[in-house]
Amino acid sequence: MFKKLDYKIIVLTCIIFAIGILFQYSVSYQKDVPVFHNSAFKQLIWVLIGFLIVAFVLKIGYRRIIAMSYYFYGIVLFLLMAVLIIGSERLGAQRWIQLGAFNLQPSEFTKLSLILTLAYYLGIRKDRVLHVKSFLVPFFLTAIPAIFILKQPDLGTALLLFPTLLSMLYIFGVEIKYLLGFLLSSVLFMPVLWNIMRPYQKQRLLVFINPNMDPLGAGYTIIQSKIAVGSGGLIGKGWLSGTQNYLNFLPERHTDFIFSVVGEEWGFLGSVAILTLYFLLVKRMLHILDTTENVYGRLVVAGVATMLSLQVIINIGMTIGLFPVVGITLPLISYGGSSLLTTFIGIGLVLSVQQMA
Amino acid sequence: MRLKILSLIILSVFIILGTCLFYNQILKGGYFYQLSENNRIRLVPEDAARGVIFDAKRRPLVDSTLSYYLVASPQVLKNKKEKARTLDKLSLVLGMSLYQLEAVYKKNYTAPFADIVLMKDIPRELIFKIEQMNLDLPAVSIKPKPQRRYVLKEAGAQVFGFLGEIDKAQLTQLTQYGYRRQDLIGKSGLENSQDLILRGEEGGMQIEVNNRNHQVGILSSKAPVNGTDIQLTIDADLEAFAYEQLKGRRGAVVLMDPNDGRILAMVSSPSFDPNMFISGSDSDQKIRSVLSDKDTPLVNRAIQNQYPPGSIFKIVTTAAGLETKRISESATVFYCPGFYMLGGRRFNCAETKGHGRVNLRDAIKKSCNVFFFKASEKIGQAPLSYYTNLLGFGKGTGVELSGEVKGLVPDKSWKRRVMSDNWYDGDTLNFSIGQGYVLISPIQAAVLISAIANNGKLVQPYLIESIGGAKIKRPLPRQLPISLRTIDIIKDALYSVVESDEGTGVNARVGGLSVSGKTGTAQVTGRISHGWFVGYAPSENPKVAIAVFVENGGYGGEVAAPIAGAVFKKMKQLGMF
Repeated sequence: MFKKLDYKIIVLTCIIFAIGILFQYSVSYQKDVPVFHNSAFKQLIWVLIGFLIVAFVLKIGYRRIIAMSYYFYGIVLFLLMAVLIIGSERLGAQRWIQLGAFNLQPSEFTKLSLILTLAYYLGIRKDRVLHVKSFLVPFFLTAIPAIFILKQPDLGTALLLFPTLLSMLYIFGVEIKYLLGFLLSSVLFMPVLWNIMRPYQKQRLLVFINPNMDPLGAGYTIIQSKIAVGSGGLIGKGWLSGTQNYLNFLPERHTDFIFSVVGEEWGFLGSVAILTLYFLLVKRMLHILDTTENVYGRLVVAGVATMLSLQVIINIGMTIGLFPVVGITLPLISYGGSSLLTTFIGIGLVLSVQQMA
Repeated sequence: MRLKILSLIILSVFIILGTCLFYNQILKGGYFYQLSENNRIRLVPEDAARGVIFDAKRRPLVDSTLSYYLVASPQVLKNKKEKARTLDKLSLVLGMSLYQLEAVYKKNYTAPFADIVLMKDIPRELIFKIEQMNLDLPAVSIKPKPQRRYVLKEAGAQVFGFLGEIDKAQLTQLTQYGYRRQDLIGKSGLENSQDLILRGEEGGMQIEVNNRNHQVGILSSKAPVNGTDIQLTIDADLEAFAYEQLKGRRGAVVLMDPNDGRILAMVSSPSFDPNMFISGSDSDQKIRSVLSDKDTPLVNRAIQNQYPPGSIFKIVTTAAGLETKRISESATVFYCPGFYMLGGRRFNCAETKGHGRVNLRDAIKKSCNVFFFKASEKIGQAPLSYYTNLLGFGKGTGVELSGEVKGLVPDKSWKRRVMSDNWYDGDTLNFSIGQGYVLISPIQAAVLISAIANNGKLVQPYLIESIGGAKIKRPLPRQLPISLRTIDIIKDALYSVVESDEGTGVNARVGGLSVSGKTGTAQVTGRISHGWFVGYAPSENPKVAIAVFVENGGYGGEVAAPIAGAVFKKMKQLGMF
């Protein structure tokens, strides 16, 4: 089961995750509060579950998982509907389902099930690449869960799905003119999107365009985060010494805005180092893609690699004001079980593709 | 080919991201760094005002006044020379040794940019002195801080509670609710049980200052959210008066509306002044003396201690006897020679000469034990335990305070479990007169007498009338399965306890007001008895019920009944009847 594993991916994943733990600790650190109340401790418990799941994925093998992808797709659609009906409202959005002590966030798992479903559908049609159906059906397969997620509303995840689709179609070999047509029509779709957004999302977008519009309200997060990252300078203020972090001026620090703490405490060098680690991880995945013949495998790796890089780019961009605040986590570093498990399963799938190549 | 392009796209986006980081952290890093540190950014916390606790007539019982703190900014004192100079000058003004001052500085340090509290509640004359020096000592400033004030001081101190700095255990539990180190938190009473309502949410401003420490702009601010006010059912006059009556003794008084359980007064003695926990330089020593006092002034004797009820328990025995039809008002007559023999053991009556022939009414009026001994042999332990539980004993009343005791209702299985012994007839005898194993708290005694006053309804006592102006909805008192006939018989007897010259409760009489009640004298091995009185007034249409308990005070009729009488009289003067 563990033969022929790509150790580079494993090592990179572990390094990034370990850095994540350091910053979870820093964010939750408070003098006199015991370590096991720190979110870093809980995150460590999640990683144990994560390792088990990777092992499980490897044991089954990605091909059998892909073969079951339509079931996953159905389950995820069902869960997304359930979230809209019974989900608990958090931070102005319904994304969670309470399962005993755990909160399940189905939109996280949607990403994976979509990648698998697309890989399965496209893989079957590998001889009909140029057929228009090979483009249209995947589009609808993506649009249906995207609409549900948008309804939650989780703009970030919904928008992540389309570039992932695009990249998989691109690797699959769909004609460029279709892809360009898709890009054009999505620009035309923007006004529609604006109309279905919730007020707080519109507010965030407006403030993103001009953060000074509301420096004490919605622009607050962006300004605080920019100050945090910027003030790190070249080498940072040192671990556990971030002032912005300590002062609680940064909301959602241990989840979406964890990078602002990284930037503040480790500075430019630390930020670039983390960026490089992520790039090496993606690069390695693309290398596996290159050496894989199997269409299904290639598509899965393309999906996972794109998803991972998009999350990193959007999340870090968010903390320095390049992207609007859309609620995308930083893979392996942000706190949260659903996000962590999704990333681990994704990495497990890539490892499995490499193993079976 | 396509793979290479994809790889290139991803790489270029990462490079763009890196460039942006370079711009933010290196090119503009100095600006952001200055904003965030280098003395240019200050956090000015704004305390949220803690909610006021009002009495039933909206007079403040617990509110806040301003006091002044001396604080120092560690950012300015990063400079060692400056720190030495500042502390040196301060030690002269404050009359503290440099060593002491250093110790305080170290102890209260939390973070490199958060102000350090050097002295709390500084006296006025010092404020002026320090203000004058302020130009010379840029690191030091005086900050107004709201300070809790307990208007009634000792009266009801255990009910209102007091504030203290959050301790480690609490911090661990409450950190997720936004509590931080050095936060004040309610340590007992309502301050504790209602802390989340009373405490607001701390706000603050991040301000940008220039190199002379003058504010040049506000970077962001979070407005403090004030705590919510709470209005109680307590009447400040009665609370203070009841405490005056009890002062100098150990005990408790609970005064409540028997119809719905509104508590008009709840006091416990000995008490303490909660104000001293907050301020004053000698407060440490006073606090220590309060904490080590063997008479436990911090304990709310009305709810947190349990005692044998003595003869007030005869109300329960009567109810059990009449409801089970084992005794009757007229037919049950016993002869009391002053004692009762059971299995070679002598059980004494309060009157050693004996009461002669007594019926139920006389037995209650004169508090004859022998009558109840004989009655209890007919009733038996099980109905006695059943009616004791029914009348609210053996569980907390649910009043909005923490640490309420349950009391103890003994029965056969309890005795087997805890004492590993059988239940004997002698146990039933003791049980019937409120001696032996049964234990109750004064608030439970108030619930018992209320249940008689209101014709058999079990009230849930409460202290909180409204929170933030919203009235708290209360369930209606539960009607107990006790017949009105039984209640009437008991009421008639309780009236004679106070209003008949032979009654044990004559000291609770008030001119121009009909009072009913029952005295109790609970024997404690090796010590003076506990004195009890439970009662209500006016007898025909009860508006108020009272339970008075005096620990090791002697006869209930002599120590407890007069307190009840005085409180009723005060209420009459205040026009509350």
